[in-house]
Amino acid sequence: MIKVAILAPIGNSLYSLNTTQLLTQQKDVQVTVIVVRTPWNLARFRSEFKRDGVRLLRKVLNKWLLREKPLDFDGDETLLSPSKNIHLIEKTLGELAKNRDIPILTVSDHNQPESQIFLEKAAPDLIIFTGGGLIRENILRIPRLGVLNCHSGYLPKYRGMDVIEWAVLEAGGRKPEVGITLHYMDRGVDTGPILLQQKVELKKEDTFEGIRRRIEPMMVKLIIEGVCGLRDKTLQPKPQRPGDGRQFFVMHPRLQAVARNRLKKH
Amino acid sequence: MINFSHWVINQVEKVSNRSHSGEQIKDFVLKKYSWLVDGLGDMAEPNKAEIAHDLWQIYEVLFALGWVNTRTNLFNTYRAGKQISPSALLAWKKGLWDGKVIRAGVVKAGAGFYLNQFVLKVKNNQGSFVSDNLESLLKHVETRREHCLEAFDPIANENSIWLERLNIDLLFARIARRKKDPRFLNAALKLNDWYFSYFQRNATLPEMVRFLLVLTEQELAFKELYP
Repeated sequence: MIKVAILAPIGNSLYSLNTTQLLTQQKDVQVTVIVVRTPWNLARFRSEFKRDGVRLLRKVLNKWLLREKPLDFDGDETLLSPSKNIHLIEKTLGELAKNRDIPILTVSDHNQPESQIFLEKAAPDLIIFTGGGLIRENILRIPRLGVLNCHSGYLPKYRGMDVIEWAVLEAGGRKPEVGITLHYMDRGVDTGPILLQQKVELKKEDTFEGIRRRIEPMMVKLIIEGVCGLRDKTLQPKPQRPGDGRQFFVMHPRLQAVARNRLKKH
Repeated sequence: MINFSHWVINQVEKVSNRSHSGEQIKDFVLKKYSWLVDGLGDMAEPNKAEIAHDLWQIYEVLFALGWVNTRTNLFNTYRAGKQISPSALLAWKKGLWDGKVIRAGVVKAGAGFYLNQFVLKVKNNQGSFVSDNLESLLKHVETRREHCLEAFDPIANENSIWLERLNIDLLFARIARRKKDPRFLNAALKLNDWYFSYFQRNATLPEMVRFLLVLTEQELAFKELYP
């Protein structure tokens, strides 16, 4: 038996809902607690707007106001398709927790003392991070095995932000190294030991937004595979060397335009 | 409803977009450069040699960009810039915080200028000294964004703070070309977007010339990385 806790960015995150639902269906996996962040507040919005600019508005629109409805139009390769297959009827983590008797705590920041006490009491073997800001040492040290995150880039080469765009931009005429990586979190940015990875093939007519939507269900599956592997003791984390990769940041619009052109030509 | 929401966001994006296109930068640089060259002879500027050296560098980059066609650089006599001896570089390095140019958001004055000199003049670049400090400066700029490069040690006054910032900006643009690392070009592009409004209003002459040098070096890096 492996005990896991879930950290979620927002109560109706489809990524968190899918991950939690699938975990509850695995043999000898117990979801002990869920910690979810409160919906957007002004301070967080201002801080994230400074970093992400207008694309934050798109994120809020899709994830909160429209409850990810735009994904509906994308056919079989988005989070909505596995949602149907795994009998996910709940719209929020609150409903899911209530229906399955899982204690849930709502916090404004995952690192706050209430969250720490709640998680320490639950004593999980593993915490699954499904989004919601930076995780600090006080939370990282709680689980026996560690905190798992699925990163939308191929580590160790592409750490940080906009890594799909950076991989395409840097590839030039070569095949871009686009992929996802399940890794333990540490104090660095995407520098913790790697558990599992999967490369993502690009398709004709792909857009960055489309690739992101397509990899979300793959990320959910990788988390499940990773948790089951840790439960069965068949996975060994592989440490990353700091010099094996670089940290990338939000891409400037002029470089984004170059990356979009390169993606079209790929 | 969905379409309307996306339309609103698109409009907000258009209004809040502060990035400058290559064409806008080219227009700005050529206009300001020509104005500066015309007016330089009459100016009683104490740093005239340094300014003229920057103008010499700008012209060389303009030629490499193909933005001017005549090879003759009016500032050829100012080709040699400020000379720094290897011992002066090492003396500056000794004054850092355990070899680090940045500590708790405060940047050592001269970081941009001296790191650039290390790259150019010290063959082995002192192991990871240069690359580690470049990464720290990059992280500082990318995480603090418009609040980056606000504090220097010793404290930079109003006359020198912009030159300190621009020297780091220049370092990024040159490192992007030298190391073929677009992350530094990315940071230079952002810095210059944030700085543009200041330079459209009230910059001093040395600041304006250095800004034009940064912009041209940025555009050369862009051209070389993405021809």
